[in-house]
Amino acid sequence: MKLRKLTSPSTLLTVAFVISVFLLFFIASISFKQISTLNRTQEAITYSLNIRVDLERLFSELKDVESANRAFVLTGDERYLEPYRYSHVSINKSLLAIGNKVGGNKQRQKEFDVLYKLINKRFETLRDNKIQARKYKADDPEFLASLWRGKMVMDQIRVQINRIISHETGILERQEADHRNEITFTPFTSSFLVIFSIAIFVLTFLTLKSNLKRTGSLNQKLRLTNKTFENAERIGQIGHWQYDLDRQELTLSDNRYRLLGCETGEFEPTIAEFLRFVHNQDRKRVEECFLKSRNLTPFAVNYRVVRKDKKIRYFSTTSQLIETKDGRQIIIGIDRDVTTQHRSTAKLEQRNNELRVSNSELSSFNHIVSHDLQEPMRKIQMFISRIDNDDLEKVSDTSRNYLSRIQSSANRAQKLIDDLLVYTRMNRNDKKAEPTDLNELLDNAKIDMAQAIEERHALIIADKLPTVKVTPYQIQQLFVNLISNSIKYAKENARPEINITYSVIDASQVQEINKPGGKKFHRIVFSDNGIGFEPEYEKRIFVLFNRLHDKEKYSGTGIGLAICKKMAESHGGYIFAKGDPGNGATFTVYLPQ
Amino acid sequence: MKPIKTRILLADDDEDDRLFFADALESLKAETEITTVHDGEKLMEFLEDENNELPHILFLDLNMPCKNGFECLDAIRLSERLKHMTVAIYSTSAEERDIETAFVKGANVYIRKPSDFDSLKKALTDVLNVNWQFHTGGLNRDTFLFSI
Amino acid sequence: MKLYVKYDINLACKVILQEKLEDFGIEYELKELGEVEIRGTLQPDLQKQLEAALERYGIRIVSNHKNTLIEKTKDIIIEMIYEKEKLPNTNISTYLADRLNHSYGYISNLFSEVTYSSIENFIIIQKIERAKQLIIEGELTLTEISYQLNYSSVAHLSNQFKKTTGLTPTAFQRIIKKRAGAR
Repeated sequence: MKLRKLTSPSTLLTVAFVISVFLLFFIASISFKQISTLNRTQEAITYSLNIRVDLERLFSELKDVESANRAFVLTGDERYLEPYRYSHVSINKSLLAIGNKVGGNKQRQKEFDVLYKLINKRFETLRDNKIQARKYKADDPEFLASLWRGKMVMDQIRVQINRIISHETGILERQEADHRNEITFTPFTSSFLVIFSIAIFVLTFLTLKSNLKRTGSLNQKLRLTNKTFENAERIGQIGHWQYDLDRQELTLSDNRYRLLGCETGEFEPTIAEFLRFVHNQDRKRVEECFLKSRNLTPFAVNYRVVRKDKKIRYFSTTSQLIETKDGRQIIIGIDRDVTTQHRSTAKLEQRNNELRVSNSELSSFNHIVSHDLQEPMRKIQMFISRIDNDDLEKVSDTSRNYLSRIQSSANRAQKLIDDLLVYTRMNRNDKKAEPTDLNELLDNAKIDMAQAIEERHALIIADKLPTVKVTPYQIQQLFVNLISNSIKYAKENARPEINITYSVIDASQVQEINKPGGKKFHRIVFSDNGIGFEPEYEKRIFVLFNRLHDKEKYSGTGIGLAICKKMAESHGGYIFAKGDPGNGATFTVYLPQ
Repeated sequence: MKPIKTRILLADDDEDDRLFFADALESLKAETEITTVHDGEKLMEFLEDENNELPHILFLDLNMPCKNGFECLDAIRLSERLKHMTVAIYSTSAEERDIETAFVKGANVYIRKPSDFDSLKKALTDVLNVNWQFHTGGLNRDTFLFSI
Repeated sequence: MKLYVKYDINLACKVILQEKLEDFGIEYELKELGEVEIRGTLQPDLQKQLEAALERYGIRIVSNHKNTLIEKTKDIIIEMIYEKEKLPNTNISTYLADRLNHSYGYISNLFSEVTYSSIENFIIIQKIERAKQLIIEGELTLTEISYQLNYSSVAHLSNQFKKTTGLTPTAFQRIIKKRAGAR
């Protein structure tokens, strides 16, 4: 996370920028420093050279004076003293110039003071010579001594000037050496820094370029997405809007205008305009919802809209407040035109209601009829059973026969009513599916059927059954009916045998189910050794009140298997029958896993 | 040991059923004494009148005018004086739901009105027998549940 | 709240019997299983008073030998079903004959004659009663209960339960639970 943040393009660019700026400053300051050093060295050199030139000139002027003096001494001719007079002034000038240049340097000042004194001394001897000997006197020892002294002072001056010059040369050389050092150091550093900078610039450039490329492709994708979105909105009858809470700005998508029957941008996108299209009776509600959505509660509202062409459409709006990264609060909303769904749902609801009413009417009708029919039917049976044998002896055979027929009819009616009651009970809405051990339900079914099982010595062999989420009494009734069916249609002279096998099977393996694979079913097979039935009746056998057999011989009502089918189907399962006349029947129940 | 007649009270609004019941009871060997009432309110009046001796067994139809069998049963089980009485529901309904509700409300016996006379006699014999056993055999009254 | 108590009827009756006999100043000796031997004879008056005093507790004087035998038979059966961890596998008829020193045929006939129900029926009723009690206590599964009461299978127990009470054990259990919830 942290690493990725560091290598992200914008951070990389910032780092490169800072480094570049730093490097440029660094290079600039180094160059500045070098140039200013160079300047100073240059100045020092010029200065030393100037001093040297001045000293040379001073010395040559001194030589002029000297030679003029010598000529005067030799000749005694005053004309030779001419340059002496001038030089006096120019020497003074030179001295003053040098003195100015020397300025603050103490070492130089000292050397110069020595030179100054020596020059003064020389002029003293010259004046002396001029005054004392207007003419060369070879034999005058004092004159000769004065000459010698002059020469000595002149020598000293020369030496002193040479010293100063050599001193300056020394300084110059030292500065030159320093300068050279610096000059050799600078190119190396500079070129290194330049290369480094170039490297950074290249890197930055490459990054920028790849970013630009990516941005370009992202932009393209975004354009495509936008276009898709726009089309999707148009096709799906959807519009969306954004409301910036801080700027109080509403933005509507193009299709939002179209949903209202307007051209894009036809009206000013404001809340007031937005609400103007909402149906009068819904406006207040929508406005309240909109206000509510400002406190971070997402809202969903269904309302009517009156379009520009005055048509009423049903809208459904879902919206939510979101906060952007820069802290702006924006409500975004999706509006859907749900008119079609609304109308079909309304129709469906109405039909459902009608169905519910007619179903419950049917159910209570069924219940009441069966219940109230039971009473008189039971009484008929009861009264017939009250006629005892002695009384029967007294009536005619025909009457006795009628009575017995009345009794059996009443019994059948009773049985029908009982079965019908079970059938309506199975339709009742108090179904509660819970994980149930089917073994327990089978045991209970056997207990319910205990009398019939014992009478016919029926043998029931069952696999271990699973635990399935079912409505217990319904599945128990299904088991009861299947067992009862097998015993009822057993062969007269054979012991009824019912084999119950269990397996799990994929839907794709059962042709009759006609469902794609992947869904698993519990398959419970009841097979018996009874009289069976013709294969052509495999479907009819489950139809209510449908009987395959003579009702004198077999006491069925045609309801039991219809109940089985209903129970299997109300659990999302199936039941199928296979008959083999004379060899038995097989009932296969599929319950979803 | 003087034989005590088993006092039986039948609450049923159907005249034919009262007739069958009385006939069947009479044809039994057991010594019984029967009183009948026609609806739930008369039943409660009879039971609440302290001058009347309480029956040993009350046979109660569920579907009665004024006050139905369940309401009577609730009232009986709430009354200190009546709550230990043996109550046998005597109804046409064979619905599991009715049977279970009756037992949960405190009925001891549930008889589905039979459709022939012999079954009725057998049912009554069974009830008398099982009631006698519960009373003389020291059996737990809380588990006195019996469905015919 | 509901308490399930277990009491020794025999002991309770014995104590009451002893107290009453002593109240009347009767000399007696207790034999096993509801047999009391009185020294000498009881005046009819005194016997009536004693009968009246004991009737309050549901104790009846059954002077008659036949009645004694039947009461003893019942006691033995109840003792077998309630006291034992598990019913013995031996034939109950032989067991009864041994304990009572009479042929089973005699006992059985006598029982049917006096109680209008057979010994077998009585045993079934008592076993089912015991099964009800065990179901309510809820500590044993139906399989364990059927084993303890010597049924060959749960189905056998369930069948007999249904035949006797008209209800399946599960329905019975559900009703008892709902009743407890309703109160």
